[in-house]
This record gives sequence, structure tokens and C-alpha cells, in this order.
Amino acid sequence: MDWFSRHTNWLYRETQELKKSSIYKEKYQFIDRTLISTGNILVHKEQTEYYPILIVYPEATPYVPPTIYLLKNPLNEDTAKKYSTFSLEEIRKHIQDNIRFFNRRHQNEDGSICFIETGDLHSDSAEVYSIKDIIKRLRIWLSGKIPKDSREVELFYHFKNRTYEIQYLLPDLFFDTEIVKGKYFAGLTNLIQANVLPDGIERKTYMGVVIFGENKGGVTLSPKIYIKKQLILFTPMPDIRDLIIKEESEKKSKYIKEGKLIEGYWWDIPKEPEPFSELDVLARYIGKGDENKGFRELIEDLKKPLSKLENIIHIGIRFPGRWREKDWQMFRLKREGNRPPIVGLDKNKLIEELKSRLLDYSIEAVYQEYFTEDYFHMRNKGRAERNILKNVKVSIIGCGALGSEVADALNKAGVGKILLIDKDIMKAHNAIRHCLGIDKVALPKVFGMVNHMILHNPFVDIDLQHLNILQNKLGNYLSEGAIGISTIADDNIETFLNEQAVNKGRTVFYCRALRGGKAARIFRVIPYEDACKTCLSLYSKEKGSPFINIEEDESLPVITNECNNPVRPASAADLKIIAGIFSRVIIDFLQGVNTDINHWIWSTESLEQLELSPANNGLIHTQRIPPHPDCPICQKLEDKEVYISKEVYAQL
Amino acid sequence: MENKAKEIIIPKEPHIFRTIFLYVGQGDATLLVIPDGEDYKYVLIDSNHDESSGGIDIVKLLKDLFSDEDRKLDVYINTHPHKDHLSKVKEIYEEIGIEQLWHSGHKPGGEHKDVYKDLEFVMKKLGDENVFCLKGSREDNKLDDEIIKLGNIDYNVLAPAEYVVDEIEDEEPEDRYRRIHEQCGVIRFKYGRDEKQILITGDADYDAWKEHITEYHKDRLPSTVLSAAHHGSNSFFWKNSNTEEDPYKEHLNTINPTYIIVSAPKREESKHGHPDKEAMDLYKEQVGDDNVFHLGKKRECIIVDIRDDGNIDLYPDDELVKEYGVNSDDDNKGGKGSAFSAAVISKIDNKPMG
Repeated sequence: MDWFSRHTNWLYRETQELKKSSIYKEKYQFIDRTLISTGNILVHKEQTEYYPILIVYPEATPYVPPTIYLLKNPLNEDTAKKYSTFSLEEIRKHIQDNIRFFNRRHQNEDGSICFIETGDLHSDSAEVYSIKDIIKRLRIWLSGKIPKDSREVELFYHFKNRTYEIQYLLPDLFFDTEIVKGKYFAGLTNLIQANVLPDGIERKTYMGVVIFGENKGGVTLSPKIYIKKQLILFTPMPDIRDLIIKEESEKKSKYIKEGKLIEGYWWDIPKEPEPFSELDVLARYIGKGDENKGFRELIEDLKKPLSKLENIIHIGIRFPGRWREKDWQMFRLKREGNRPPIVGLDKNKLIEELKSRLLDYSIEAVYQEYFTEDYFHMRNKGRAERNILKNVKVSIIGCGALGSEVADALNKAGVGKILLIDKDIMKAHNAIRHCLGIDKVALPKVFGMVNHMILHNPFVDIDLQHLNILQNKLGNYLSEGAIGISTIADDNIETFLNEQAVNKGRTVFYCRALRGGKAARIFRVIPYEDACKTCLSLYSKEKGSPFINIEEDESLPVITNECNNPVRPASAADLKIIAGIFSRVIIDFLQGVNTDINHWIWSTESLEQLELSPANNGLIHTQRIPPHPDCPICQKLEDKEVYISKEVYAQL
Repeated sequence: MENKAKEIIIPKEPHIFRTIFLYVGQGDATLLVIPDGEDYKYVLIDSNHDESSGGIDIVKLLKDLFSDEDRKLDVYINTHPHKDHLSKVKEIYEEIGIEQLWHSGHKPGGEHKDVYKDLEFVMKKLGDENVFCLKGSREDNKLDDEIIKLGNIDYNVLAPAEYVVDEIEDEEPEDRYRRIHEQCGVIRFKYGRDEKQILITGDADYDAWKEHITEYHKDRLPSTVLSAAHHGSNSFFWKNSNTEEDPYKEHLNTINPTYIIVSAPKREESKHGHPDKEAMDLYKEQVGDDNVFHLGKKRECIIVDIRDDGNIDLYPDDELVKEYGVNSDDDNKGGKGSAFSAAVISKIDNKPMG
């Protein structure tokens, strides 16, 4: 059934609005296989301007807005009628030759307008827009303004000419505002191999690794270089001296030829550009409004690749950002036509020749994404504040099914330093519940986890200790100022850990899944403030104590390995929930939230001291349990010297 | 929380001269938002309250506009003291506040006497130092023999001429009543490096234009936007609206507008049959169908933005009428697409994430 049969009210309203709009003068409206409307948008400026458009309603109407194409020429009645018998896709194909491109943000590659495609996520009302509102926004856009624009700038999608063959990751050093123009180098990353797109295009990802050039005064400054994790993340680069000093380095040329390295040119411009497809517009932006000046600068800076008849020239422009100081748009110039090399021209003729050769190139926008600390952590804002968490050190003690998930969550939250401690080797069967997969089999789990975590948050400082804590001193894995996070869930080992941690004044969080993952216990031990693990053990034997016992579920199977070590059954679904709750408890604590609580029980079933109604599928019970007065670990009396006078002693 | 009046009326950027031709049914009300450094001044030219054709409740709108702000209307301008240009002036003074009053100096008789009493009340309250008489002048920003600047824009008072005021003042009440539109305020506002002009004409009639304004002020008449005189009445083109003669068009040719605004309800809702068909035909002949904006046709306001570089943008707005229209159906209020979308969208949570 067509949408217009299912939503007759909507159909009525839309068709009426199309007919009576003050802004849109509809010429023809047809409904057959598709509802289409065509006419002019009126923009009243110095004179009234007329913009022909085609409105096409998709089958998912009203859940998605209509597609609106901006046309070069108005449609006649026959064409409009014919289009109404087509599908959306057929109309898209047929209309392409009549698309008018504005080179302005929010026009898609196929000529349709994109600012109407998604609802306003900040609006409390339903995210559906009637044609009346869409037409209003379109009028504003056509009048030269961007209606209700976002703070994010992703110009790439608004360029008519784009390439999908390469893309960039731009790290913090590309946002250094000291330099205003110069060169950059970007290396093909090791980790992101050329991914093949569905249409067979191989897309290569390059990481910006070096940027250098001059400041506003024309003084050349020392290069900014991306060093962090270079060996892990990126293809080995030529020596930096080869990149910068030796213009004609063979090694550099080889890398460029093999597609492992990009050498590009860039300029800082004073305002955000509108999308464009011609080089003279680029020259105008670079010349700060003066096209000739911009061309002179372009020719001067690109003299080498232009003279060498390079097929491709990589460039970038940087401009004031909307919510960050700077934004980037990268491009690729592609040579078209064939000319002989330049020989023996005087200076003036050379400039003229170079300009003419520059105009041989077409310009394509290249996608870039920011690889910066701020940009990465922006998505955690309000729930995990990088500014607070980056100053925190944690030691993840135990990287099993539970510990690996907790490590992953804290890493993604942006905790500053994470030390991973585990003695085990990854086995194939671990993959069924572990963060890691079978590609890491035979690796110590901590090694696998470092590789895994760096892919998610390269801004966290991750270290590892492949060791057994029973054979090591606490200081080797839980240094002063660090918070311990134990998911070992072995009473002997954790009692040993507790004893040492209390003694050294280290805070440790513990978590264990219980009853096959249907329940979990989390507790915090700040020495002398919270009940320590031994305190809890004492409480567990006392009637009426605050400790809630969680009995074993005897119906679950008992699995052991060859040495009779138990393997506790629980599915990854249970463990991920528990790891999630545990991670949130830790992140809250690190951010100063709910610090009065030191004991959490999560259960999906009623327990002896914890009533759960059938309406609750899982409940977190929170408590503050004080140290046990008889605890030999945290309440141990220290020896004291007692002075007794001779006289008294004699009487004794 | 921002209300509709603030959202639509206050420019989001500084240095924009915004004129809002408010739909007030059978009458006039034009709100000027005038750049004043980084801030704005607010000037209301005329006011009407028309329940029969769903015009905007001007008091309600202004209350919202100035809510949470300790400010008043900077200037209230009355082009002439007829009821459809002066309604609610007392309420505006008492409930919103007025700093200055500019008026035509006409003392009416007949049915308009009562509302004139309201104007007199406001004049008395403001005191002589804050009340100014409109007197036609060749000088920019000249008001009542003084140069008084209005924010960052310039203006010309074109009518009434002082001699017309004196002449009519000495006449019998009956004649004064008959000649009120000859003594109507006409003001041209100007802004932008590439200057654009807005001409406010009140109800100035054939006699006013032919005898006193067109020839004398021909250099000061050209205007980008013309607010059509007397709600699109024939009285702009024909003496006593007698259309048997050839129309007088010199004034319209001299004004040479790009856009014409006609403040009137739908003709069938107007007790005077405004806008007149013959006048509308002449307006359309002058600027083209698409450039004549009859506010009552779709019950919309027209907003004109002039930037400091002179860039102009004119566009309709239906949201002010929807929000502040007298007797407007409450069901029609609300956010984007809300009336129908609720029926089709199964929204269950706010701002979900996946």
C-alpha cells in the first residue's frame, strides 16, 4: 500500500500547503506512483528571485521528509507528469542534467538539499517537518543564509566534486596556530589498511604526521611532528630530515610513488569557505578576497609540482572553526590534459605559464577527520569528563572476561593512565566471553588488550605487566596514587591483595559476578574508611550484619579445568552488564559522584535480604559498610610504648 | 524561555534594521526594530485591534517581546488619530510603556474622538518634552524643528506639511474630520551603505499626495518598500475614491517601489471593501503580482530585513498571527509539525541514543 493511502491526512495537508504557500509558487502537482510538485521558490532581495525546484515524496513519507532538487530550468507539465510515474530513484537519475548546483553548504552530490533530512535532535516536539516548514528553511537557504545550522563543519559533503580514494586523519599538531602556511606530510597508516568500498574503490587513510611552514611574519618555524604511537599506528616514515631538508630525497620519492606518503601544501584563510568547484574560487579564498593575489600565492607555493607536471597535487586549507579554533578542508588537484615540460621561460612568462597549467587541474574535496584528544572525547561529555579522568591512574588487576570489558570501558571513558595486569595467555575458547577474539590466541591477554584498547582510544597511556600478583610486590603493579581494580574473584588472591593494599594505603575496587552472572557484588576499599575484604568476611559470619549473603545457584553446571580450577558459567551478556555497572561505579567515584557508597549488589532475583518484585528485572542495592571493629587487617592495633615509673613497677 | 515574539522579532545579529508589517486586520501596525550600536530600539507605528478578522493582539505581542526586560517602546508613532491606527494606545502605554510619542497634530472629531482621548492621555502622561509633532521637512532626521536621531538609521518626515496642519486646525470639526487623511504622517526610513528605504504612508490620500507631497518631496520619495496608503484604498489614486477619472499615478511612479505591502484583511472581511480592486491592479501593474503583499490574503505578517551593507531580504511570517492572532485557534499553535505529527509519529522517549 502506498504512503498516500496509509496517511491520507498527511497527504491532504501537504498537497494543500504546496498549493497555498506564499513562498513557493507551485506550477504542477501530480500523484501517480510518486507524489511530485514543481514550481518556484520566491526570494525577495534587491529584486524578486525565482528558483525552480522539484519536490519528490518518498515511500517512507511522513517519517522522512520529501527530497527537494534545485533545478536549472523549470519543468514543463509533461515532464512533471512523467516524473510522477517514476520511482524516487528513477527521478533522481532523470533529473541529474537539470540540477543547479549552488556550491553552498547543505546541497548533496545529487543536487538535493540535506538540511531537511534529519530532525532537530534538540527539539522536544516530534521530528517530522511539514512541507511548509521545509519551504521556509529552503527560502532562508536560498536567500544566502544557513537555517538553524549546526556547530559542526563537515564541508566535504557539500562539495560537488569529491574523491573517495583517500582520506586524512588530522592530529592535534595540525591545529597549531603559530604557522599559517606551508607543507604537510601524511603517512598511510598500518592499522587502517586500504578499505575497499562496495563500488570497488579502494580508500586509503593517511595520518597527518608532520606539518611545517611559516608564521604570519614569514618566518619559517621548526616542524611539528607526530611521534606518539608512531611505530604502532603508522607505516614507518622516512627520516624527518629526508622529509624536510632534502627536497629531492630518493627515499621520500619512493614512498610517495608507492602511495605510502603524501606531500601536501596548505594555507590558513581568514573565513570559513563555501563549497566550490573551481580553482579561481580557491585563489580568492587564499588571496583573502583578491583572486589575483591568491593565484600568485598558489603559483609561488606550488611551483615545484606544477613545473614537474605532477598528476596529483595535495592541498589543504585551514580556517576559523565554529566551536574549535580551526577547521580543515583537504583537497586533491588532478591534472587534466597533456603539456610538455616547461623550458627556458623568463620570470613573467613562467608565472603566466604556471597559472595556465594550474588551471589544467580539477579540484576534488578530500574527507578528513580530526584525530585530536578533544574531538575524540567530545562524545563522552557530561558523563565521563576527560579533563578530570585524564589525571587518573588505574591498575586493572585481572584481564579476564570481566576485567577486559572494564579496561575497555575505562579506556573509552578517557582515564589517563591504565596499567593492565594479568598472568594468563589468551586461549581460543576465551573468545566466547572475552573482549579479545581468536586472532589474539597464544598472546598474553595483557598484550592483546593493549592492541585492542589503542584502537579505541589512542590518547590513553596504556601499559602492561604480564605477571602473577602472588609472586610480586604491590608496588610493581599498584603504585602510589593509582586506584586498583580487581576482577580476579578468587578469595585467596584478593585477600592477599587486600592485605597489601590496606597496608600501603591504596584504594582498590573489587567486582565479582555471582550466580552465573545473575548477580554481582562490587565493593570499594579505601583503607580505614571502608570495610576491607577481611571486614566483609567477618560481617558475613555475623547475624544481623549489614552484609548481604548471595548464595550459590546450585542448579548451574560445575565446570573445571584439568587442575580442578573452576570455570564459572556466565554468558557475555551477563558479564557485559556487570562490567558496565562496575565501570560506571568507578567513573562516578573518579569524578566525585556517590562517594559515600562503598558496596553495591546487582541482582536479577530476590535474595534473602533483598526483595525484588516480579516487576523488577535487575536492581542495584547500594550500601555504606564501615570497617569491622575486629578486623585484623584494617583495625589491627599497633604496638605502643608504655612508660611505668620505677616505684609503680616495684609495687607490681 | 524564548517566546514567539522574541524568536521572530529580535534579530539574531546586530546591525539589522527589521521592519515587521503586522497583520492587524482592518488597520495598520508596523513594528520597527532599529539598530542602535550593538543593541536595538523598538518603534511602533500605529496600532489596531480587530477581533472580526483575527488580527494580532498587539498588547499581548509586545508584552511577550519585552518580557524579562526592563524596557519600553522607544517611540510610538501615530500617523493620524483614527481608531484603526490608534487602538490600544492607552494599554500599550500602561502595560508596556512608551518613551516618546510622535503624532500628526490632528485633532479629530466624530467617532474617533474617544480613541483620541486615549492619545491625549498618553501625551499628557509623557509631557511636552517627550511628545513631538510630525512636520514635513527636506532635512534628514528632522522632527518638530529639531534634529532627533533614531538609532543608526535615518528618516525623512514628508508629511503633514506645517501649513496643512495650521490650515486644518482652523477649520470646523466637520471639515477637520473630512481632511484628516490630508494631514496624515508620511515617513521614509533609510538604512544601509547601499541604501534601502521603507515608506510609511498611513492613510495619506489623493489630496495629500497631489497637493503637498509628491512634487515637494520628489527627491525623498523613492523607496524600496512602500506600505500602501489607506489599506489599499482607491483614495491613494482618485480624489474622493471616484474611479471614473484617470488615476493619479505620479506619486507611485516617483516612489518607484520594488515591493508593496497592503495592510488590510480579506476584502470580504473589510467593512470598507479594502483593499480596493482597482488600487490593487495599479499596484500589481507597478511591481508585478509577486511583489504585492496583501497581509490579509493569508493572514501573514511581512518582515523586511535591511543589513548595514544595504542587503535586503523580505519574507512572510505566519507564526506571529498563529501565536498572537485574536481568536486564533489554539490548536493551531505549537512547534513545527506538531498538529499532525503527533498522529503519525510514535515518539516514546526524548533524545534517545543508539
